[in-house]
Amino acid sequence: MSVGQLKRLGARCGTQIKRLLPPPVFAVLLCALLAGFLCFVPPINGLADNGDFYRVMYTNGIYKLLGTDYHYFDYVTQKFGLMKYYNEYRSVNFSSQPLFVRLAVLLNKLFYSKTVFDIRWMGVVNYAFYLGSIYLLTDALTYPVKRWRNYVIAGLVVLVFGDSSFTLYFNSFFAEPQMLSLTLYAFAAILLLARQRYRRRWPLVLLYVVSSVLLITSKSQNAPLALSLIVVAIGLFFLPRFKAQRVALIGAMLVLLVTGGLTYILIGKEFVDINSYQTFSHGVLTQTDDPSKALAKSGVDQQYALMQNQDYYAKQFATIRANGPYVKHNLLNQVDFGWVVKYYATHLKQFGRLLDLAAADVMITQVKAVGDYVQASGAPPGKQVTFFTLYSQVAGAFFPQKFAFNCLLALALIMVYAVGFYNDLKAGAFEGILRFFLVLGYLTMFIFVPVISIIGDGDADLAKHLFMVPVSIDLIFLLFVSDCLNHRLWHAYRKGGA
Amino acid sequence: MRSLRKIIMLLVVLVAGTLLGGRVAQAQTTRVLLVYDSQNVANNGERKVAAMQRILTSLKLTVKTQAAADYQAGTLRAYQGVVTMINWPQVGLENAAFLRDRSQFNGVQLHVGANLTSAEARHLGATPVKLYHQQLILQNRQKTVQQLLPFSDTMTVLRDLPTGTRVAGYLQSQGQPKQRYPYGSVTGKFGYLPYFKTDGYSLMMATQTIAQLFGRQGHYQPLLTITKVTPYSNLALLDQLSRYLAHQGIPFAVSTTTVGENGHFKAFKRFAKTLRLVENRGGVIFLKTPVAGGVTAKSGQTLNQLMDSYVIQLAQNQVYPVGISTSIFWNQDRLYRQYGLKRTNQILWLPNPAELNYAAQDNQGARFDHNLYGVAASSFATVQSGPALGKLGLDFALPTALTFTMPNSSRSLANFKRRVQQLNYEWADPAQQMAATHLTGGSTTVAYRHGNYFLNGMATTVTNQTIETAKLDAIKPAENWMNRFFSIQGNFLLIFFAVTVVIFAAFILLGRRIYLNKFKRHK
Repeated sequence: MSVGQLKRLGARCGTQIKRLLPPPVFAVLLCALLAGFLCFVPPINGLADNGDFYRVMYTNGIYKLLGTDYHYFDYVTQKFGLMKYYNEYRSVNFSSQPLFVRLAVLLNKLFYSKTVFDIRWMGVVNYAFYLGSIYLLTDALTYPVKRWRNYVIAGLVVLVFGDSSFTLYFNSFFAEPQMLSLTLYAFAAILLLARQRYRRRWPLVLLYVVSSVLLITSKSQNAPLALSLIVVAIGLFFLPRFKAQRVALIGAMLVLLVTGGLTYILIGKEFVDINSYQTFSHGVLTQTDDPSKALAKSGVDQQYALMQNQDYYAKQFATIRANGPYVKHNLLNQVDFGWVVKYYATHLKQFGRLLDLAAADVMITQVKAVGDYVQASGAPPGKQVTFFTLYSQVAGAFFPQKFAFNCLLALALIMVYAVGFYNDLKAGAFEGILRFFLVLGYLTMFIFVPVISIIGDGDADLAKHLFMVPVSIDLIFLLFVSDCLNHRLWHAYRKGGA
Repeated sequence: MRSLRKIIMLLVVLVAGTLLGGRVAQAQTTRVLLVYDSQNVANNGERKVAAMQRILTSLKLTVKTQAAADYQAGTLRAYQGVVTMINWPQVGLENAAFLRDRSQFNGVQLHVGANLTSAEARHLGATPVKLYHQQLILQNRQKTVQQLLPFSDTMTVLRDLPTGTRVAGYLQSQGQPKQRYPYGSVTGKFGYLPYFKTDGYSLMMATQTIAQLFGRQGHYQPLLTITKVTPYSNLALLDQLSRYLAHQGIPFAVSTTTVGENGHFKAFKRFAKTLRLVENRGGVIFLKTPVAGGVTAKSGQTLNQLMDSYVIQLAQNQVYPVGISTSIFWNQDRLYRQYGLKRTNQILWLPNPAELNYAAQDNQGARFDHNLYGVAASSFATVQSGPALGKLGLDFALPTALTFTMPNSSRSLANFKRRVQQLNYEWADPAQQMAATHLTGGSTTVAYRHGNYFLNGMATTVTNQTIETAKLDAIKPAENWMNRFFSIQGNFLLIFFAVTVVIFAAFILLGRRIYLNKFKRHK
């Protein structure tokens, strides 16, 4: 066989591979294998209960099986009980999470058991939503180029979002797996619109709005994300032949705003108290040598300085019952949101230190506080999975731990994408415009989620509250790399290359 | 004249009874089994069980608490006393083994509440009488002190008591004809209380009965005690309060929690200073045990360290607690007793909070050398009495702390002052009447004897000034190349990016100008 024949054969094989296994399918297959192995092949992996599961479990008719060891923190629990009779528990929060949990319960009842709930059904629901989002994301990043380098992009998607630190969440009652998929859906929907992947636009716009609404309501702390998602939606105004739909778009933006507002307003009273207390004890009182004086100056009895680092629900012992009437009446009524903002505004140095603390946690996506194994696996309590965690490990170790760096990074990225925005605006294209608002919106998450977390809950549970930060910067990182590889960073995609 | 004679007679009877009846029982009675039918939480029955535990513990008895259903035959043999408590008359006692063992028991027996069996009545040598739908008045023999009781459905009282029966308090019916029945009665080794309340005059009479029954009758003045003080309390008010009491010549006690760390905070210095002022104004400090949250059977060391640091940090600031104050359920828990309470010989027993978090519950109450029974002063507010209110103060059968919640506003402070004036007791003085106490935390021991404080055996004085404790340098993490790399890397990237952004911006501007100029020239 001559060299020419070999080349032709290679080319034909290549075309076949590209036809049968395009980059999105490639990425989905790999992610499916990785996550499937992690979550469904016994002994399964997941995340252990950190004490928050009950909020989701009881309102959805799931309970801790009697007569079995229920583990907090140490081991993943696989089997739960399903309530058979009237369930008197009512949700304390306005949330979209029950939709997913109910679906898992339904599937469990249809295919597995009416009395025992296997956490893997929760995993199945999360897994399916996740694979769909991986497909759309990879498609959006690689369309329409048929190049081998797009397999590199698909590989990167797998490396970043196939990371076990994300997929471990599937087998748990945390809201994070849904947040991950929904963020990916929203991102991919806008990018697919920008790249004119489909002839019809409205399904993508609808996908964006629906996934945004579900994302905002998924957790009460997501309420401020409504603003970021509205920024992203501004780009849609620049779509050509869109005048008629502008009213609908404004309506959609209002829906997002109202959803965010409702999510914020409907936070349960108990959570408001927990958050104000932890904002105070884990935020205002920390990162300073002696907060007594600063407190006295801000109009709160300096004695409360001694609450530094105390939890609302005492882990073991406490000097005072933080959920009792004394603290509520004398402290919590005083340190409301306005007071906290005013305090930080007058103590910027301390606030900066807190933000750096947040920045240090930003890329650590694996929840170290809880174990990833079931007890039957024979693993020691609290053992962490290391399988396919390369990206999160490297990013966690090497991403700079300064908040100012994050701000500069965001600024640099905005400037880069502003060039594409300007060029496309001049050229009458819209890809760069949509993409600019997309990047801008997700960067606001990157910057403001840490700020809001600090103001809203101090450094308590910080790593978990920052979940949206790594997701948003990872998405922008992937977008940036794929744009560079496909030479479309500075302007809309032109057929045939640079 | 007649009433004087009556009083003298009563006193003679009381003293004689104490001396005769008491000594016999005291020699052997140490372990007491408290058996209840039900906690009856719906009617706060668990508080009654807890209050009974407190009384018995305060009488230096070793108490084991058990539900009747859990009683196993033969258990009583190891005890010298048994208290039967009926909390839920509709359910009653059904454990045949217990009833059998009790009928053969020859130690001290007390029946509290309804369902008095005929065997028990026989032991008491009296005739039981059932009262229906009555509102009774509890009064002393002379009718000089009385308190109106809440309406009761049914109650079994005794009539035709044998001679030699000692009676504490009388129940007077309000209807016609007026009848008077004894409240607490002790006949030999058998005692009976028709009902039990956790506070007020009923409690005083009940403690008198129980103390008599177990031969531990005493006469104590109450100790004025401020409870629920924390480092977060309004310290200015506590200062005013202690100054007021000192001014009135009233000795008092303060039960306070503290923190185990952040001793260098100004807030802690201020807290300690306020407590030192209390000490110098005739007050003593009780260290209140912390609130238990998510405790487990492994929390022992944590509690030990925490209590150690409480004591050490207070002692460093010249605050020397004279004992521990705690809810009685801490004595029913192996872990709390061992790591929390056993560091002192004096405990002030307070009522249980609404939520009980046990670490290792075993219901085996331990015995401490010195005990105080804490009861809310407000429960005596409805006690009516003649001119001799102050004398009532002498009638507490066991060391009692009358508790006032720490005021939280100037209005509640004024209210506190008014109530103290109204009570008009002759209050106990710790400097004179309190036994020698000690409290240990790590290698630090604080002791209190006759109004003097001792730190590790050396007499010490309390100053009013702020104390500067040596401040330790913050511990720096060991520097290694990894740490240094990451700290440098962060700063380096920050600077690098800042510079890059500036250059980038300059290039964009520059490039834009060159680009435009290109067009201009072509024109």
